[in-house]
Amino acid sequence: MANHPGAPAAGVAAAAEAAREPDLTVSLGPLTVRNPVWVAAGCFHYGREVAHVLPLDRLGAVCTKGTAPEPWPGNPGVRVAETACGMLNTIGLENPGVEHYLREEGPWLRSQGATIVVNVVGRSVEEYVRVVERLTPEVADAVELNISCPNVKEGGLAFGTSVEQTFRLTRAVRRATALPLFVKLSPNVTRVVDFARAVEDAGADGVTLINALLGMAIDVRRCRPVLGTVFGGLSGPAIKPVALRMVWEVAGAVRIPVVGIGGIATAEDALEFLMAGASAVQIGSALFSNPLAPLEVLEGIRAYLKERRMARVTELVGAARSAVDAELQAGGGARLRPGGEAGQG
Amino acid sequence: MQSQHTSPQQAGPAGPAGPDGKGRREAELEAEGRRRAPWKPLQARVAACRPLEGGWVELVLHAPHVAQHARPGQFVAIGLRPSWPVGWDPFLRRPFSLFDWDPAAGQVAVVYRPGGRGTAAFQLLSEGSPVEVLGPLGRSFPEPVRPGFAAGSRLLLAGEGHGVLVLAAAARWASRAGRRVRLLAGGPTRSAVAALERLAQPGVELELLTADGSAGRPGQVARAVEEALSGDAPAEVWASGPEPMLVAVKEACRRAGVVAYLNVERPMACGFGLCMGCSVPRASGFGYWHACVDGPVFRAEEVVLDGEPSRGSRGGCGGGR
Repeated sequence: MANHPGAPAAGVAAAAEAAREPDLTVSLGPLTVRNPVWVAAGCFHYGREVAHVLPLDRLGAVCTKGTAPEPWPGNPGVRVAETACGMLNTIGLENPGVEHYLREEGPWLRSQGATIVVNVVGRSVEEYVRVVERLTPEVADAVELNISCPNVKEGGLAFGTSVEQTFRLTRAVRRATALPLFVKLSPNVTRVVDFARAVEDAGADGVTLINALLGMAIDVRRCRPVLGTVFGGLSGPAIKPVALRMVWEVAGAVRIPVVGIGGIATAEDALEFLMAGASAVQIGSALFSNPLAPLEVLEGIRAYLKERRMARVTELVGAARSAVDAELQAGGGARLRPGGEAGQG
Repeated sequence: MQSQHTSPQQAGPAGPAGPDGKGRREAELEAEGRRRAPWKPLQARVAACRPLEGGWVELVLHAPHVAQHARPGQFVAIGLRPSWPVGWDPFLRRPFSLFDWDPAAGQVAVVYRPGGRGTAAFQLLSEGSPVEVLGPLGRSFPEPVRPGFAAGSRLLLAGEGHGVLVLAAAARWASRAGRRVRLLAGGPTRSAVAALERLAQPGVELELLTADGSAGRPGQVARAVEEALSGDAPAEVWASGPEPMLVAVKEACRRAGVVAYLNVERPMACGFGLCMGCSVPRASGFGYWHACVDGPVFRAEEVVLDGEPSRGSRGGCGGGR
């Protein structure tokens, strides 16, 4: 076929095909990424172990392991347990510290062509600021604050479950860096929208949700909790409906972009989050059973767009909201918001 | 199927560069032969499913990449998704020690006994079933013949329960390399010894022990190791089994001044260095090893096992409740 006199026409067809390739670029405030499929903090370490099968320059962004001012050893005892359609973890933010990141992982991630979102953890406002002040555009394209780890007291839920603390921390970090700033929220709160608004008011460029849900499992043969710390974070497809509901709520309540995460394992999952209002999505524990999940999700989104002849992935963002909004405006939509905003109002 | 040893491999994953000279350790491990392989995600098919004594099942998979790169001590992570209609349950793959492999046929064998939520689903497999395989994963046992461990020197392998599986592969490998190999295999009772009928092999002196005497002589493997060390001691011991047995073997080897390598198993979510779940406390230095990329084969003195007294202070931050 290629040697046929009609080859030039095939070339034109190929060009036309290329022209129909949807634009997957998304902008989240000051951060523009090549596509909306990211890998989540704590589920990718720094990517070294998987880069030979999952090229990092094909991902929308890599969220690094939560990185502290100094190395943290993580939690003792059993750290992971499978549960129905998901898993519990209590890693405890084991990480090699920011100085190691600056020396080894950051330059390596850059050499791989990754868009880098450095996830930051600390035990106090000062510690978060200390990490963020060390991050330069050479080793970070954006910062994501982890204020929601269910497995450490300090730097985890202590910040993520107080609206006031969330505001104070976000504002302090905002003043310490010019990098695009995201804050990753906990689902272990009564009204997640309040936290999203606090983050927006404090000057964050975007909000990521959700982190893992607090959970536990008991080994009935040994008659004791499975995890070394008793409680841990539940993740995986089991939490997706909860995550999706929270993303929907937050996307309707703030003007800053939302990054959706929670049980995403397939393109359909990712499309749901985009349609709920997320501008990008993160893939977390699905990576453990399928390290190629991000590429499959990306290809699935691309195929969906082409099938519907949509030019840009951004057309999907919040797309499912318009149907609801229209019905609400028509006055017939009481059934569409049981309990009102956040389902708790 | 005949296990065959393959030549040293090119690097796979980019390898960790830890805060504490992990890069240097990597070089040392390579020299010793405790190697990793370039793991890959593969679509594999079940070539055979064979019931074994005691309720164990041998699962033979057509997985040429694993068969060509495997070394004893390494493992595979097997999943049923998405090729099997089981939805998202079980969510995680299951790690299995490599029991046997044949590079020419492109086949690898693992052995399991249906029990937990994962292996219960594996019972649905039959010849031709599609499965997903990641591998080979983890670090192997050291090269059997290497500086300080000449051909002809004695190697004692000690395993209990499903821990014997990885040693069966190691026994063939070391015997072929010229080591004089003795394999102590046991468990509480006959049915607890995995692949019992497949453990005997040419060139390997096999001795069975069970606590209740239902197979081999009555006794415990760890105790038999102590006896072996008290006489004309072997040059080294490789052990695999329940943690209390590993603790006892480690202590016996320490007292006798004999080098020991342990196959240390931990619950793991991924098996290839992303989740940090399979932590094993370091005996010296900061924090934890991870069984999937630093092990599962460790030198005994590198690790603190469950039930061993931990070394006093460990960096005090990040600890949970």
